[in-house]
Amino acid sequence: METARRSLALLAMLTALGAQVLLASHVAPLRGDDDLLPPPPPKALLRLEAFGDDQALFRLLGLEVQNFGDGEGHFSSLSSYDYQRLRDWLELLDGLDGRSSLTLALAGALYGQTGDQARARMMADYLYRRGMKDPVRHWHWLATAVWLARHRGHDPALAMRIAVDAAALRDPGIPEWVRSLPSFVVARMADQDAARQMVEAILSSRPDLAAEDRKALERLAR
Amino acid sequence: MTAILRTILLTNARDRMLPAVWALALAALLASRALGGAMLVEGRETALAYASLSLRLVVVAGLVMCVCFQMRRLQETREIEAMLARPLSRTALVLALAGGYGLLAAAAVLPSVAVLGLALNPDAAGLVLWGASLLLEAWITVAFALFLACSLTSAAASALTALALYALSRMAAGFHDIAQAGLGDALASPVTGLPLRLAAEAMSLVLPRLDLFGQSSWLVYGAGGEWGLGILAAQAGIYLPLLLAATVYDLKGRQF
Repeated sequence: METARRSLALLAMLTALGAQVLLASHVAPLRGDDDLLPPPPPKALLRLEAFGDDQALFRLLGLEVQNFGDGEGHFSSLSSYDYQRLRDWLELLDGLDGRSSLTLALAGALYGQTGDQARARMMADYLYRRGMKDPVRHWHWLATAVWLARHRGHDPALAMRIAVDAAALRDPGIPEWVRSLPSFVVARMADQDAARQMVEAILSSRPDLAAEDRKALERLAR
Repeated sequence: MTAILRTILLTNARDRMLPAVWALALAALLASRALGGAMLVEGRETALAYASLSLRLVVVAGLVMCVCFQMRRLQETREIEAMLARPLSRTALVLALAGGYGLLAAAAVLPSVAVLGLALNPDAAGLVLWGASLLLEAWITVAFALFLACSLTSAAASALTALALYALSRMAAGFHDIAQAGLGDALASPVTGLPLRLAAEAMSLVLPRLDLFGQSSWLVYGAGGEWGLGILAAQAGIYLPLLLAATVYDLKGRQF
């Protein structure tokens, strides 16, 4: 009698397991939220979400922004992103940590690599405004913004504006060659040659850059 | 008092709470390191922030579970009554229990902080400040859990309430901001706005400001900022006696 009951329990367990496998295969393609780039949360809500630790929330959201649209076995083309919303996200992250260079790397070395001119201009403009807030630390991202605006955004006016403002910076922490950025804008060069030249100049002037930052910049010259 | 301390430490040795917290802390550190490696730049900084967050959650959840479930068992097995049968006041009993769990909290926090320091090499002053603040935060959480474990008859209810109060305390600044800004339809409404704003403001004033503790930015950028250990020690210095006094008050009204 006891053995029969045990067998019945085993049968019930196996039946339930089979049903679970069937259900899981049926719901496999379903996703709770298929929004490629959801709108950023309001600032008041963010304060509650942070549970008092803005830095931890910044890093959690930073990973999310880096991986928006990618994951679960599929990758999204940069042309399918809403870049205005992306910029809102980057600015929201800057509000949580204004010292990090993560958002600059995301804008310059990841989302700036779009083939769409308007989107590249938007990232160049973001790099410009964010980089000018702390130009001594982020002058290399200003140089990247010049290249992005000139060679990806095909907007010489924006490139020249960034180059002129960067060239006007006077600080021992900013290398001399940054003053010649306006001539970089007017020079006729192939996109990749220009990128290579700029990245080489940055890397030789910033030997202190972390290996990850160097790799991010080298992505531009590939 | 020494006997009570020994009881708590032996009970925990039997429950293997500390090895469980240490193992989870180690797993959290490894996971943080792996996630940091997935970042385009600032992988070490990201790993530090994730480690800070996950270690805090592991320590707090472990201590709350430990205090609430062990206190319930001590009451059910009438060990509390046996303790009170000795020439020991209820105030001394609460202090001994708090001391025992405080020691456990230190045993959970300090090795975790040391391993984080060795594994991720954060700024030394920042690590000391972060570690000290985590210990103070753990002590306040233990005092919350002890009060609730003595007041409520269900271990699960006291543990969940303690975790909810912990979460609310970490959102205290947000409540203040919401009350000030009057955000949202309900808070902006002339009917519900004022009472809701007052409630949010009252919560931000009554709850301890745990959101000031355990800042990941101290690990990433070093010690510094608008506040330091002084404010945190003052917060702990006010709230620990408050919770212990509430526990004594509740225990004195009980019949065993």
